[in-house]
Amino acid sequence: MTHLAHAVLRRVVLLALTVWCILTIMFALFKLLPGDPAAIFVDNNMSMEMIEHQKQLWGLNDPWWLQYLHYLGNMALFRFGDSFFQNQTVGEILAEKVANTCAMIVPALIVSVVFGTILGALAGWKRGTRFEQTTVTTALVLHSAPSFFVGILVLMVFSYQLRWLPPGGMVSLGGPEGFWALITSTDYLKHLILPGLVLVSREITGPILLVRSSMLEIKGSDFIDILRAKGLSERRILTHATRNALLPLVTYIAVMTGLLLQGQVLLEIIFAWPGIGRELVTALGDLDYPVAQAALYVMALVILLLNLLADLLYGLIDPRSR
Amino acid sequence: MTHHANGGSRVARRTLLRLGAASAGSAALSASVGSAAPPALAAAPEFTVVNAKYNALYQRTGTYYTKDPQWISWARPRLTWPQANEKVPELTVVIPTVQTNWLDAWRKFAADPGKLGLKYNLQQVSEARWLDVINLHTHGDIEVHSAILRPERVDPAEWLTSRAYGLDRRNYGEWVNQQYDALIEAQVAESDPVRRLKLVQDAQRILADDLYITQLGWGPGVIEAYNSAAWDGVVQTRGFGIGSFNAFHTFLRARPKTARRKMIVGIHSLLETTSIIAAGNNMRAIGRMIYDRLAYMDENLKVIPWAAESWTRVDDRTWDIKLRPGMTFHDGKPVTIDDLQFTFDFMLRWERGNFWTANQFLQKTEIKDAANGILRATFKQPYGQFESYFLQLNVILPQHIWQNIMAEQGVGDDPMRLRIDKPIGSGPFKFGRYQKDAELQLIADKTHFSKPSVDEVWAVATPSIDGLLGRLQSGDIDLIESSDTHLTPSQAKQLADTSGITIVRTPDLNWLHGVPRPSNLPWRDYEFRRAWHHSIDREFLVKVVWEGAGRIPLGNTFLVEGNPWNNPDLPPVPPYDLDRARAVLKAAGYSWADDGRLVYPPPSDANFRKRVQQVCKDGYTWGGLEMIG
Repeated sequence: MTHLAHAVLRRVVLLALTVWCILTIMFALFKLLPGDPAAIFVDNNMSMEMIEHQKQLWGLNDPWWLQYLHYLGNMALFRFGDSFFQNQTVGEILAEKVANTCAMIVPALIVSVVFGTILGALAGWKRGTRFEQTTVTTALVLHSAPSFFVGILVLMVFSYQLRWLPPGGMVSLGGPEGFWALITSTDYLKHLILPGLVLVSREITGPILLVRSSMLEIKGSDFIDILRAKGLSERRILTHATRNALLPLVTYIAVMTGLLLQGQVLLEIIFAWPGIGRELVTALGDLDYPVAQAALYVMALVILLLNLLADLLYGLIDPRSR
Repeated sequence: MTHHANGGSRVARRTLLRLGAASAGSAALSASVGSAAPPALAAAPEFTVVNAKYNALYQRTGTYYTKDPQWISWARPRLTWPQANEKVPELTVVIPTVQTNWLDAWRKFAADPGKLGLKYNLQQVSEARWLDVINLHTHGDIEVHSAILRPERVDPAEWLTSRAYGLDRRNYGEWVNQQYDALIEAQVAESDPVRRLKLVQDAQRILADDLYITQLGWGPGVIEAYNSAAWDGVVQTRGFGIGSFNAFHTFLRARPKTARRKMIVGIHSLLETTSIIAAGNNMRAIGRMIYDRLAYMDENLKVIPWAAESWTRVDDRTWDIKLRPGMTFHDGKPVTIDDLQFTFDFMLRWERGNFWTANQFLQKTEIKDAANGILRATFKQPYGQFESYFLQLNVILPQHIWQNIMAEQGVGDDPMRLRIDKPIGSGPFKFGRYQKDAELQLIADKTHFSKPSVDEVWAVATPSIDGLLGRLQSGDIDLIESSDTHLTPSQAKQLADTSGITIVRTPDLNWLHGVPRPSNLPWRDYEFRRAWHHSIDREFLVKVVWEGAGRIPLGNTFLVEGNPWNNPDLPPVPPYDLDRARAVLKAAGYSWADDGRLVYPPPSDANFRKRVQQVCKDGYTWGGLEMIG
């Protein structure tokens, strides 16, 4: 077995172990969660016997170890079952909601990474200039501004007052139906502008600050002097420097993507975006265990897989790290 | 864990349900009176009840009450005679975190009685936890609850039974006044509306007289705003307002002022399911815009014919229901009397949720006159809730779609698992486009007998109140669905400055109440309850917390002034008066410890012992838990 294959295998085993730990902790947390899902579900007029029966149907009266085994088996096979309340399979619910969230975060992520990298590289390269000061200060301010506040602010100005942009949702009433028709429509783009803007305003700050500091390190390294001695133009040197400064960004993007996928609850509420964050909060509030557990599991898996990917990519990009 | 649809050893459902049929809701009303044998509770013999009939509440399957260690650990000390100089224990109130208004009010209600030597423990918990503890009766001393009105809840039994009948599990204080219970049992079986009203009013009097619940405030008010630049002729339904899907007259009768005939409604959350059988709050209301109910109510809450054109009382157990002729389902098939009979058969055979309460007393149906669409409904016992409950809740399902649906979908005997992606009914609106958590289109059926004047109603999910207000201001929505969202006066004021927006206030039937625990000390002492009632500053709730959008209760009843079943002649709610409260306590033998805490009367106080044993006010008979020893 080559060194690389061994390293990959080790990572995968570690990943599996981490997944098992997460599943077990999640199971324990849900068991400890106060409240009885039947209490949410039942009609007030139902008798206690009916409630008990419903719990039995849901398997909530089985011994905990049996529930745990069922749970592990089902999660391993991605058999998430049905929502307690929604008359839909959890798979269907999650697929729709994850896709909707991706429709918000992926464009914002691309814009943030591309422009953040350019701005960060320029800021690092132009150390001590007004451009660097303005970029860094703006990035820090944006990074500190709570997204729910910025979200409400932009809604008030651009939607409620000026009425330039729609106040929420993914599409206008009666707009395109079906995910692909929706994300290829101009209507969706109009709806994306405000939440996208708020997301970018925060997420762009990471690449800016990271690439800038990385650039500062590289700017003082020997190979830059060599490039300069070889007579390369400033623009060519900047390109070479930026390429090297991007290494830490690979890991950052992986982590950022995972966090973005799970962490947009407030934006989804403010902009009435039907995404996975809102679904998770509703499921937790209603004690819809299958949906909540599956959503958390999917989020955890995405983060773990992206981290694994980042590790592997890092190894490929930078031979020193192998 | 995932959903085990067929998990575990499946107990035959109907067997279980039959076992439990004498338990919840009005079902409990038919529970037979037990023998005169010593009524000790088998699971925990130290707990006994005065009247064996009430064993039924404590001796059910599951892990409740006397089988619940938490309940026992709460009840045992509260049913043990206090020692000399024993302080009145800390009073626990559990409040869901989402109910910030309740918390604001309770901070004051808990602070004031400090002057009486009472100490409170206010606990904030998640809504799920709150539901859990109140259902298990482990919520502490006082259960707090607000009214959410639905058409069937205009029927008096909904609250009078569920919150105060001795055998109902939602009687959170486990108050058992035998005279009250007798009236409740009589009213549900009284089919003559005039006689029933009298029974209901008498029951309200006992409830108020025995100082069980306390109405903290009547309100909050139903304040709404709508886009009057685009719409005219909105209908204010008493208690519901203009924008509730529960009272959908506005969506039938509003007249467009512009070319747009599509009414757009902002709503907190959309459908939790599209199956009327598994409906929660929203589908329960919207579902009845799609499936015709049999009777409805007008804007003054008077019962009006709907899919049932008329009904005739044959005797106190039997009614003939005449179906409105000429109705069609949304797929074009005619609605027939067979559909109606099929619906009842389906519900009786399978359904144990939303419709069960309405149909639990139904014995059988038979088609009396197919040509004229007349169905005879026979009940197991004399039935008083026929118009205001049975006809309000029941809908008509299309037999051609539903007749084999259980087998086709392979859901065993659990209709809650049915998947109905595109509901087809005969109601005034067809189920149109639907995107979960985003939008719902309801298309007016212009052939419906109610003749909707709008073309379409669109419900747009907007989870935040700021979003709803902003959309109303910017004209993106025409009104806010108001089943559980009313404006505060300050929000209304903010909107009132917007051109084209009109604010409407509809007389409300709302209340916020507190239910103490007369089955336990210190509440078993009527004089303690009397003093405590004087410690509630209701004006604070109404004027400060609700910003004036409420009323000081005129009586301790759920059926507030304006409700057709209200008793206008109730004893007044004891006024906020801490001095009087202190005097009542002092006269009843209570004293105060050095640290100011209230101390129980001494064990030798025969009057105190008598009051604690009899629980109810003089003249009434307690039937519930007895003191231990």
